[in-house]
Amino acid sequence: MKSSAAKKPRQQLSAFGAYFRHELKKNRRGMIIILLILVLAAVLVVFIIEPISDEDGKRKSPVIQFAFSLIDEDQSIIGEVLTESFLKTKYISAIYDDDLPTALRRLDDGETAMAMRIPSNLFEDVQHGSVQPVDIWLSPIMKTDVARFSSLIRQYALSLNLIHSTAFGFQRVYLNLTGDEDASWKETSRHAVDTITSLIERDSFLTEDSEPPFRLFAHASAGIMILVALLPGIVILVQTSRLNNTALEDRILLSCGSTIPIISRLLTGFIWWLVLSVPPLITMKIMASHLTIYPAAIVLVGIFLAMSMAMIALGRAEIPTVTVFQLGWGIFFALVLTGGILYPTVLFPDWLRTAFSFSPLYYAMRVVYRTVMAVQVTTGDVLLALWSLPPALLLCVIKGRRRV
Amino acid sequence: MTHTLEFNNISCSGLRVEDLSKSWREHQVFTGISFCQPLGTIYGISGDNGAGKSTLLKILASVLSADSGTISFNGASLQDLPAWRSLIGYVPQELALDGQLTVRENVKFWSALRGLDADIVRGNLEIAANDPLVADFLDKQIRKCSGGMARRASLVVGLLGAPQLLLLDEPFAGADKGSRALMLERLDALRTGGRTILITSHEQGTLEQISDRILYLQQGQIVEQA
Repeated sequence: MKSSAAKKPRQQLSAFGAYFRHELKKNRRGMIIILLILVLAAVLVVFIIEPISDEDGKRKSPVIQFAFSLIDEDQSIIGEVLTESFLKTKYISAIYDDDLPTALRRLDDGETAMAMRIPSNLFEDVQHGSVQPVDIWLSPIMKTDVARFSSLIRQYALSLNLIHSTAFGFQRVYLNLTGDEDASWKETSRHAVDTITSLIERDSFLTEDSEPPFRLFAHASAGIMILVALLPGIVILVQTSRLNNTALEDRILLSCGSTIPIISRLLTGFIWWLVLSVPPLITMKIMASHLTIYPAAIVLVGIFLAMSMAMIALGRAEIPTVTVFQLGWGIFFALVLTGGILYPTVLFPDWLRTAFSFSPLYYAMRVVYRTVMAVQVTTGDVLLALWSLPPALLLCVIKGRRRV
Repeated sequence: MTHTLEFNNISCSGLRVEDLSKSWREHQVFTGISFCQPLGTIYGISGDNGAGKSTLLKILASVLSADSGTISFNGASLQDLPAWRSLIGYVPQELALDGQLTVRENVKFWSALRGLDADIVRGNLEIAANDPLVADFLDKQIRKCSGGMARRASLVVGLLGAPQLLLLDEPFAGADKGSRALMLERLDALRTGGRTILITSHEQGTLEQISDRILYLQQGQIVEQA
C-alpha cells in the first residue's frame, strides 16, 4: 500500500548513510588492524620471495611433469637407456638414481610420483628369455597424476612386451651384421625403450586433460583466499544474530525499516572482504604478473555474497544464539571440507568427489586454483562457480528480513 | 468494580483497538480485547507478569503482528505501516540504545536514522542540550549511565520526530525518584500538548499518579480498574 507518509528516497538514503556509518564505526578499528597486518605480510612476501616469471607464457593447460626414482639393482644398459630416453620426454622433470629406502622416502615426501626397481640380472635374464618382474611404487600423495600415468603404463604394457619380442629379431640381425653380442643387446634395448618413449611422447592424452596438476602451494594459496572471502559471512552472522528480535532491532525497524540494516550489513561485509581479499590478490599479481586475477576476484566476491546472504537468513532463525553460531561454523567447515579447500578432492574416492561437486565451493575452488596455476578460466567456469548466488539471494529475501 | 470495555457504537477519534487477539502457539495471550483512548490522554496498562502488557504494546508499535483485530489512531490504520510508524514513538522495556555511544551521539544517530534533515537533527541536539531529562549527562556513554539516566535518555530518543502517539513499556523501571519525577513532569507536559500516551507499568502508584485511566489486563481480557 502506498502512503504519503512513506519515506522519500532522499530520506531513505540519509537513513542508510546514518546506519552504515554507525556499523562501519563499530568495525573500523578491527578493519584497520587487519589491513595493516595483511599489507605488512604482503610487503614482506614481495620483498623476500622472487617474482615468478612467465617462462612458458599462458598455457591452455600445463603439461604434467613428474620426477621418478630409478632403483637400478642391475646396473646394466637397461637403466642407462631408460634414464637417457625418458629424460628426453616432456613429462619427466627428473630421474633420481636411488636405493630403495631413499626412493620410498621421496615418494612419501611427494618429491616423486613413482619409483621403479630394475632387479639385478634383469638384462642377463632377458637375453635368455626368462622374465623378472619390474616393481613399481606409486605416490600416495599425487593421486590424480599417478592415476593418469599408471593407466598409461597399463595401456603400454602389452605393447612393451610386443616390442620387446620383436626386438629379439632385431638383436639377431644386429649380431649377424656386427658379430658383437654385447653391442647387439645394447642397441636392441635402446631401440625398444626409444620406441616406447616416442609413443608416450606422441600420445597427447595427458595434455588434453583440462585439469591442472596438483601443486601444494597453489592449493594452499587458493584455499586461503577462499577462506578469507568466507570470513565476512561469519561477521555478518554475529551481527544479525545478536540483533535478532531484540528491542534495539524493534527501534531500528520503526526508524528505518528492515531493508536498510541488511544492505548496510552486506556493505560492511564487503568492506571486510576488501580488507581481507585484496592484499593477497594484489600480492599474487605482483609476484606473477602474467596471472589474470579477475576470474578469481569475481568468484571470491560471489562466494562472499552467497555466504553472507545465507548467514543473514541463518542469523534470523528462531533458535538460541549459541546454536546459531554453532550452526554457522558448522556450515563454514562443511563448505570448506566439501569444496576441497581443507583437503584436495583428489584425495577422496570418486563417489565422494562426485557428491562434493554439488558443494557451493567446489567450482569456486576450481576457478581460484586454476587462476593461481595460470590456467585459462572460461566465462562458463566462473558462472558455474557462482551457482549458489541465486538460491542464497532467495533465502535472504524470504528468511533474512525482519518481519512483523 | 471492573467491567469489560465496549465501545462499538461510540465514536473514537484517538487510539482505537478493536477485537484484538494474540496467541503464542497453544498459549492464548489475549482474546478479543477492545478499547478506545481519546486524543491528549494518558492511559496506563497494568497486569500481572505474563498478562500480555508488552505484547499489546509491541502490536501497537507495529513490531509484532496480531492474530486478528483492527487498530487505528486518529483515522490512520496500522495496516498502513509507513504512515503508522511516522505517528508513533515507542520506548521498549529493554534499554534499546547503543551503549558505546554517548547520549548526544544516540540522539544524533536515532534522528538521522529516521531520515530527518540535517538541520532538524541539529535542532534535536540543541533541544536535547537544554532538556532537563538529559542535559546533565549528554556526553556520557550510555553504558556508563545509571539505570535512571539511561531510562531518561531512552525516553528522549522515543520522543524524536514528535510522535503523536507515545507507547512506553515500563518506562520507570530502574529509575530513581528524581528521574521518575522528571519523566512524569515531561509526560504531563506532553499530554497538555495534545499527545496521546499509553504506558505499561508494574508500579500501580506511579500509574495512578499520571494516568487518566488504567486498563487492567487479566486472563486475556481488558478490565477497567475502578
